[in-house]
Amino acid sequence: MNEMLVTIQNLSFSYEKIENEILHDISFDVSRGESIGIIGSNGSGKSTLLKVIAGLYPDFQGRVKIQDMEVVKKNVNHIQQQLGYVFQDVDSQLFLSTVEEELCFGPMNQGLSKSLVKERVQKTADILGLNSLRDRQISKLSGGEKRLVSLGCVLTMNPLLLLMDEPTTALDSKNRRNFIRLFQSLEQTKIMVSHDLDLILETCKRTILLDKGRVICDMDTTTLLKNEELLAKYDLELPYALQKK
Amino acid sequence: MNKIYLAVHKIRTIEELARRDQWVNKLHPLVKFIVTISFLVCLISIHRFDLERLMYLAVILYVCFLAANLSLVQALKRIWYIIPLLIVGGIANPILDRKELELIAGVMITSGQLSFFVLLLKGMLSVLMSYFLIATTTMEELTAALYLVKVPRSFILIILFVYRYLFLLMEETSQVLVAYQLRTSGSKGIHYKEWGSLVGLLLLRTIKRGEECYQSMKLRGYQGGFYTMKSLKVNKVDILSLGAYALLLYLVFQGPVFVWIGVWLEGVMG
Repeated sequence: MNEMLVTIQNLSFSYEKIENEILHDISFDVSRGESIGIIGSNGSGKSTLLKVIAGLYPDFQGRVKIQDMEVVKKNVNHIQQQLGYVFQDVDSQLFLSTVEEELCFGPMNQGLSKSLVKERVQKTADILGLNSLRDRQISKLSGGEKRLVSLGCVLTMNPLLLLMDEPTTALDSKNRRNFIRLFQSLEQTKIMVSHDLDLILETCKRTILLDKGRVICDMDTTTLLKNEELLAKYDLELPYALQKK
Repeated sequence: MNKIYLAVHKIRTIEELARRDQWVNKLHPLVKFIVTISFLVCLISIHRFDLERLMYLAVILYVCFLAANLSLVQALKRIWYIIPLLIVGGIANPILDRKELELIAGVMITSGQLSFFVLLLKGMLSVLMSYFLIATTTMEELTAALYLVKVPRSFILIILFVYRYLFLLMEETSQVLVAYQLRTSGSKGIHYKEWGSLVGLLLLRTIKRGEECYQSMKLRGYQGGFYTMKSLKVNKVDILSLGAYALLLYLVFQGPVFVWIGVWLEGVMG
């Protein structure tokens, strides 16, 4: 049996206690090294679920454990150093002046030596092809370049768990393809939220369908994405790759 | 392109200047910080009629600009906004202080006029020297220098946060204005009836952006620490540069260096 990295039990969450629940009684496990896709229509709670797992909203009901550590306020700092989170909006994720500063920020906060930080940044820049951008100002990058940098600044932290919220937004087809290759080559455990069902089909073995904050189904990606009736019921369409066949 | 976008662009341009591969840029940030502070202290200490010493300091500033390969004209273009403020600050001097000092080219110069001119120059020189500092030192280096001189960490972090959030605020404002103009047939300015709602909207947007940035920092391990990748070791070039500057400052203030130059020039020219 595979070792569990993430365990979620009966998770419910609302932004304010008076509001309706955004997430309702969610339970699932993620094994170490697994790649999971989370799909659902707009407002289904996908991004909120990722943020709760990341410890950004620790006032939830139920239990969330990452590597046997409960996601509670006192553990949040430690847990956040073990995970990488790629934001939906890159402009919110990138707040420093240059690409180099962005890439160094995470590992420096992890308390690594300067030589180790340099090594990690170099390795990540090589993987993502960021070497020519390292001295550039963030404000002068294109949307696709910013997206690559946002991935880079997470990878330099060498996280155990990668949480990605629409990671291919603003990427052109070539960079999207590169991203898929990169995603497949990463050994980390990955949870990805996306509306791009073709991306999910290519990168995740298992997929969870959310609707109005509830888990509708949790199964093998191909089986789920081939179920046209189920997808249509939750305002989703068959992935393009499967439509052709 | 709206004015706020242009202002952000201008600040970014100064940041780019600070990242150039010039030897002054490579100097230890503490050296440049000390140079700037000592220059400002000397500037402030100059008497309000001591135009001569002020000119010496202007020469030192010019040398600093030359060494850093910075354009004085560009700098003056960027700081001209402060001139009206300086004029407002000293405009009363020539009116209230009419004591006659000297007749130059048939024009009687009063002490009020001289002190006004000195005040103007002092203001310009202090802003230009600050420009020299930020055009040769990045914010990261500058805060590292403050850290070395034992400025409290919380104070440094506040500076960094304000600097980062300033851009967020300006970018959000720029976007709101563009959206407004596009839906009001490119009208000039904002109708007064819209001010309140636009300011409210801007506040909400910046709170959201600020919150997301903070989340991004937290998720990348930020716990209130201050780290820098810059080497904070002082090397020989730093010490020599600081020594040369200190000598120049000493000669200008204590030694008759310009008299020596004059004597030397007289000798050369026969």
